[in-house]
Amino acid sequence: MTDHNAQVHVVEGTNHVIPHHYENAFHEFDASKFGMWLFLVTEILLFGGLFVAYTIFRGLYPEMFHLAHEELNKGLGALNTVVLLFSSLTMALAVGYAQRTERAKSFNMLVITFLCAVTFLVVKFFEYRHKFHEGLLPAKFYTFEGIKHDKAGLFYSLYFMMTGLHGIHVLLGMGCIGWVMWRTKRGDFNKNYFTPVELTGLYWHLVDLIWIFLFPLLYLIG
Amino acid sequence: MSDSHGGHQHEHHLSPLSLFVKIFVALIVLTFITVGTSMYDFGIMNIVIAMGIAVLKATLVILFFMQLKFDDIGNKVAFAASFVFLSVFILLTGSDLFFRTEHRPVKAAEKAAGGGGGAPSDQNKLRVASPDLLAKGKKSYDANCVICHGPGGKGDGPAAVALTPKPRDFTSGYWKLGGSPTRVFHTISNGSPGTGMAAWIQLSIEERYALAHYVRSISPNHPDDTQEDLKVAGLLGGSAVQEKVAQEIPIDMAMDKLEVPDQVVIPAEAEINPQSHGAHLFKMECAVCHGINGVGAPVTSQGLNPPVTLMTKAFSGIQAPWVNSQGDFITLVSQGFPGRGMPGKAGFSKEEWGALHSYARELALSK
Repeated sequence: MTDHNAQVHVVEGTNHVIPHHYENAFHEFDASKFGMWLFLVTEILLFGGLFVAYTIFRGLYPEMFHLAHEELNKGLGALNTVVLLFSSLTMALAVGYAQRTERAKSFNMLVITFLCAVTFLVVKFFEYRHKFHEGLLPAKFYTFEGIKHDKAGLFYSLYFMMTGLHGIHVLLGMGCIGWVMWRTKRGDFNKNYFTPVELTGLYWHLVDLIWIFLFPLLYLIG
Repeated sequence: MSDSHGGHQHEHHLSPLSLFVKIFVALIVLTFITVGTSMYDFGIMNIVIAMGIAVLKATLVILFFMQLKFDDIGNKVAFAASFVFLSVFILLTGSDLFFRTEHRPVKAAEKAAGGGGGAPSDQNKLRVASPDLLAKGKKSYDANCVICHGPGGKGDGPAAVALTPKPRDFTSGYWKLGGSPTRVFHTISNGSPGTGMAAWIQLSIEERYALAHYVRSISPNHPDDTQEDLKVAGLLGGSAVQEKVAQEIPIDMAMDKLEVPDQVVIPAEAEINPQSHGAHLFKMECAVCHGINGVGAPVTSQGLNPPVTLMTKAFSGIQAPWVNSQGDFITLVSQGFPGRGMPGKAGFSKEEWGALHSYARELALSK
């Protein structure tokens, strides 16, 4: 029982204590980031199951997918795509400023990212409300009469599952961004320690990545 | 303790912020292209273009926004692996779904039966009735089937009392699993799940076809094989079909078929003509279940125990593919709705099909 490691390592310029099982700040950063990438792998496979379901049902009922997708609002879908892409830009900039110890700019970029996420969800809310109003709902709740295909509820099952799971990810992302905003304001990060901003950024880009595929699959070529 | 940890970079990679802006502009341009191309119909290319652009956008996000281009090799491998496994997931499921060969129990039965006679060309001969086959069928029927189906095929054999559901009464004209030669052959070969009907694969293929022809000859309803039936039975395609087998049917059946009422071709119009040839045929062949002028009527199923009474649907206002497609109409009527009480009706001439279809169409279009 020696206590050769009794010395506490604090990252220079911050009050972040490097946990004792890491040799230094870089070691900690790399390990944390690797963990985040592994988590993103599981996220890809989580959505992967839904993409497989989409492939199967589209293969079985191509004409139904075509009819059903025409009820989606392409314009709102495209608007949300631009909003998410822009939020990815501001997120990347927030990380960039954090790396350069420009805390105020980093904070502002995080605020814009957060507001983009809110915009995305508001647009999604109006889309969902329209679908509920028209009866464009999953499976047995489907009551819309404008599509002459008895399997059209299947498309909306997929639509709500895929966009719903994505929407939950947007909400969780907003939680992370809010938390990182608060810590940035408090002055927790500088060029030597910005791991939470970096990892929140990776997560947020993944949310954007999923949408990059959902948008064409559901709105454009259903 | 060394203060360097092998393999860990000691400088964070700093991408110029202008790079992010450039990537964003590229992403927006790609978004406009993908929305723009979706407005036009390029057939299969629409999905190729849309997915190609999505992959390109995703690559830009991953490499530059997520900075994977400048990351550890371990992170690169891990993230790339997720897409490799995702494509395995999608491609293998897709190849199973879209390239699965049709399950053919008939063929499995042929294998189990062993011996010759399994080649499609032989089966194509066997599936056409001949007096010889009918005689063989009667002999086999008396030996194997009478115990349940009864000597007259009325489903009243000595063993029938013990069976639920009751054995088929062939004189009812109702076929649960289809009444065409290959379908009846299929039922004899595989049995009827959930009933006392066993699979008779120990009988030779010829004997099973003979039985099929015999029980069809008892039935007032004996539809011919459709293309779909032949496909399912594996008898379509190859040279087997090209060598057209001359139809050999019993003389009395041929006489029945030759007896064609006056041939009048009725043009398709949406006004019901009760004097038309089609109306006449409808009255003779269909009205007993569908009611006069197809208004719908109660039908008591004779093939079920206890008997079930159903109302047939009125034709007026029906919207279905058959209304405007004679091909669909013929397929539907000749196959019937197995399991829903509609027996298949075949044996009409080309003109009769045309007349019947235009009359049914008039009924459907009527208010």
